[in-house]
Amino acid sequence: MTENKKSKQQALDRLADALVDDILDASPEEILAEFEEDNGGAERHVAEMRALVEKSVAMANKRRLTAAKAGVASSRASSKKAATPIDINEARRLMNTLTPAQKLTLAARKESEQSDDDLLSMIEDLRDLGVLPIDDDSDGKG
Amino acid sequence: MSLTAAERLLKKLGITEPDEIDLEAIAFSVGAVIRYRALDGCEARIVGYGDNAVISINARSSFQRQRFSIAHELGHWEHHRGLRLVCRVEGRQSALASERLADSYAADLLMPHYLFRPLALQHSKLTFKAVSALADTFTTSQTATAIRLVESNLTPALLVCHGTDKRKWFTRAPSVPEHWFPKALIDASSSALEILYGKRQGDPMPRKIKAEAWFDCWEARGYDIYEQTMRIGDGEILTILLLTDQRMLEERK
Repeated sequence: MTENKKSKQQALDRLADALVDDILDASPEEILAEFEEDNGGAERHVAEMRALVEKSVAMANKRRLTAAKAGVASSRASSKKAATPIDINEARRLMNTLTPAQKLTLAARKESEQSDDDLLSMIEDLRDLGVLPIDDDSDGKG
Repeated sequence: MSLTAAERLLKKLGITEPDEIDLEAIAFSVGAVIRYRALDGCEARIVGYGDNAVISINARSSFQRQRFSIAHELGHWEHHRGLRLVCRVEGRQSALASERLADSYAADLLMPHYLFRPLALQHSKLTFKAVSALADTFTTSQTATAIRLVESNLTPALLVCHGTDKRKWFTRAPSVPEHWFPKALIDASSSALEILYGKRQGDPMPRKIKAEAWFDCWEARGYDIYEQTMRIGDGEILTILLLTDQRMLEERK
C-alpha cells in the first residue's frame, strides 16, 4: 500500500470511529428522533415488521395445511376397499370384548338409540383403528 | 386477547381467511379422518384410539350442521381424549359441561375471533342482516353465527330462542348485566309472536318496544329496547334484543 492510500484509509477509519462514537454517545431518544426524521415513525416500522413476520410465519404454516389436504386425498383413495361384512350378533360380541384399559375415545353428538347399522359402522371404525382384529375370511386362494 | 386451543390449531395451519377453514384437512392434521354415513342414533360420532380417530358425520344432515358436528367432535378429540362420553339430546342451557366445551371449541374453530371480530366490526348494527352475511362468509348456521356475534360483546345485546310453548334458551353479551333475564313467554306486544306462529318470516329491521315486554324485573320500567325476530325452523324463532340505553348496562346496586 502506498503512503497516499494509507493516509486515505486512516482518514476513513477516523471518520468511521467518529460516527460510531456519535451513535454511542447519543441517547435512545436522539437515535429514535433521527431515525424518524430519516425514515418516518418507528411505530409504523415496528407494525410493518411485525406484519411481515406474521405473514412469513403464516406462509410457512400454510405448508402444513397443504400437506394435510394431500393426506385427506390420499386417505380417501386408500379407504375405497369394501369392508368385510359382519353379523350383528358378532358385532355385539366384539363390543363386549372392549375393556376400559383400552383407553378409547367415544362420544356421539345428540345421541339417542343406536341402530344395528350404527353398531356395524362402529365396528368398522374400531377395526380400522386397530382396536379389533380385521376378521378377513378370504385367504386369497379363491 | 389470548388464543383458544382451536385458534392455535388454525394459526398452526396458517389459516388467515374464513374460506381456508377446511375441516377435513384440519381433522387430518390432528390424526382424525372424516366419514359421511347414514347415522340413526346420533348427529355425529368420534371413535378414537391412541393418536388416531374416525369421526362419522350424518350424511343426511345439512352442510352447515355437518360442519358444526365435525368441529364439535374435534373439540372432544382435543379435550376428552381417552374418555367415553354420553352426549344425549339436551337443550343449550342444560347441556353437559363436556358438550358445552365441545360446542365452544366448535365455535372457535369455525368462527375464530381473530377472523370473526374484524369482519363483524364492518357491520355497524347487530341485525339478522349482519348475521346472514357472516354466516355466509363462515359457512355456519344462522343460530351458531348469531350466538357468536352476541357473545363477541361488540354490542350490548341478548339472543333469545323460543319454541311454541316457551323460551328454549338465551345468551347475552358479557356487557349486559345478569339481572336482564328474558321472560319465558312472549309478550303479546312483541312481533315475535306472529313470527313464531308463521304469519311472517321475520322482522326486516329492529323495532322499538318497551323493555317490560321482554323483562319482568322492576328495573325494566321506563326503558325502551329494540327487538328483531326471525324464524329458524318449524315452531322455532330467534330474537335479538338490543339494549341501547346506557343506563340499562349499569349493575344492580
